[in-house]
Amino acid sequence: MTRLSNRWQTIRRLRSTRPRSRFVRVSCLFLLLLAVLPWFGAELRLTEFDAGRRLRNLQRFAAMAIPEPLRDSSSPQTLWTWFSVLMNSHGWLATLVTLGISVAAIVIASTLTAGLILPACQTLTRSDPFGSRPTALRDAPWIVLHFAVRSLIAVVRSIPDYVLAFLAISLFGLSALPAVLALGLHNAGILSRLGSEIVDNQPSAIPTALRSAGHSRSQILLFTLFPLALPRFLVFFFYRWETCIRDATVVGTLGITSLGFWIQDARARDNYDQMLLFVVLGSFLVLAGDLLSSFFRSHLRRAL
Amino acid sequence: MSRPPPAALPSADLPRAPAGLRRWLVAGIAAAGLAALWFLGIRPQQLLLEPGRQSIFAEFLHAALHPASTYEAASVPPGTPPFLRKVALALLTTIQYAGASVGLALLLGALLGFLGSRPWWRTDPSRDSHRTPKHFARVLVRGVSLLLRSIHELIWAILLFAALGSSPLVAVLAIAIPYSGIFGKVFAELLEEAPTSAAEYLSGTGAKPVAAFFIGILPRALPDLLAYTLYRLECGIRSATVLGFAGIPTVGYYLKLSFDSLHYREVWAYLYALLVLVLLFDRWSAAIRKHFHVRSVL
Repeated sequence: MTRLSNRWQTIRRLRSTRPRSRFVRVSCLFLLLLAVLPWFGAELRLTEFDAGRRLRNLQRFAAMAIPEPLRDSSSPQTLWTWFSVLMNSHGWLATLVTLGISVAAIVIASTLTAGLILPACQTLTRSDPFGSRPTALRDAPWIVLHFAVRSLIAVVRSIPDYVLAFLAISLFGLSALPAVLALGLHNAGILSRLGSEIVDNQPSAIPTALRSAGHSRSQILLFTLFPLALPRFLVFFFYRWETCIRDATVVGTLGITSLGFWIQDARARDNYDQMLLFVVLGSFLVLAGDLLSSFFRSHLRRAL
Repeated sequence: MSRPPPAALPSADLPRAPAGLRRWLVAGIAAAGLAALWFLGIRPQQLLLEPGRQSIFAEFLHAALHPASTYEAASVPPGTPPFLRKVALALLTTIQYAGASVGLALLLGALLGFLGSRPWWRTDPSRDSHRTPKHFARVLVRGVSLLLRSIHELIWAILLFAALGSSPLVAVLAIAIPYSGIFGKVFAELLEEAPTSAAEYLSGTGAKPVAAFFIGILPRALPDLLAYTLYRLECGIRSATVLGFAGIPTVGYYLKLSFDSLHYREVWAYLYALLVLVLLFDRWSAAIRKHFHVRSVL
């Protein structure tokens, strides 16, 4: 009996000495409020959600979402001709355009990242990085550069890529280039931040040794920090590429002839069977990208 | 989890992928990028603006320095709220959509994440048998979350608006569906990375698998899950903004309206407001990550 009460006392003591943080508690409470309060607000208009009407709408949609040859037995087409006519008229091309935009965007993002990474790294933006010279005054321009690049990264990362693409296409005219640049810029912001964190978190022993042997900042970055960070950076690269494929579909709704364009076009003509086909094509593209990138990532993880 | 920051030097005898793989990968990526640019017919001179566009562009850039604080239109209908109030209301609506969808996605995504993780099924990766029902169930759940997240929220919105008719609740669903897939994937990975010692101890003393999971694994992964949820909330604000282009009255909706009426100073006001909101959430989640020493999340 005493042993049991001793245990309870131990448990109570452990409980009372557990790490607690008001910040975390308030954060959790705030998170809960953010998730729950909207459901009681006026904006979601839950009371106006007429389930019966929605159900009838869904039935109508489901009937029209069946491919035309299967829906209508008198249709002149077979399922295969329906499919191949759609694919040959714009399905294949739109899929390729979607893939092309995603690849171009992520490669442009990586190229921009290569330029942004040095000023984005905290450890490198000193007048004597990894050195021992006390250089507080001469650090100032480097710190200003670091702050400016960090702000630029924060801005392009925070504005949704779709909004950037909308602004770019509206200002530069409808072509693939503004869309690719917008996606590339947004992802460059994300990759630069992640990349600079990798570089900043690397152990400083090797760069310090190289610095004392007289290597320059860019030599240290190019020949030590960059090779060490590359595998992890490539993992991030593939993660972001998957997102880029989804985003490349979506910029189609702004007029680029990727899959999103034909999804919206079919929706406007109430051709729900065609719309679903293009949605499924986009989904397949993401699945293929996911497979490819998880293949490379599993290879790269061994190098981490 | 409260991991110590990585400090150990990469030792020379660690298994590393051959440098050849990385070299070919980087070369292949560069070649694919060039091929994509060629295929899309991208030429740098497309960025050179015609004279007509030049003045619009200059006007747009000029407006960046002078964001609107009142309506740009000469007259607004009576009863319209003051402009800054409208901006604040748009932000509030954006937060509501983000909060409701991420909250809903969290419920569904946590379920997918638990059921898609190895610790839930107590499958040991070292002796992974591929033909057991447990393995099959786990792979099935992973597949469902992959399917849900393979379609962008805006495409989900177009799809669901066609199927159910547009309504705020349907818009919330459009964000919540792909987000639960993403939660499902990331939560499963984080749970698999959580230290298993406590769960092994509990199992050794006869605890049921469910208890071992909820008491041994989950609490140790909780900081990671919390940090990721906060990051998703930030993404939710961006997604809610994008759904504005599909007619939901978030910041994106008003931004597009102002842009289409050539009220660039209003556009910048909305952009700056959105920027401040997203950066506030970013600082919040960064503080939580720092508190728990969680590495940055994707």
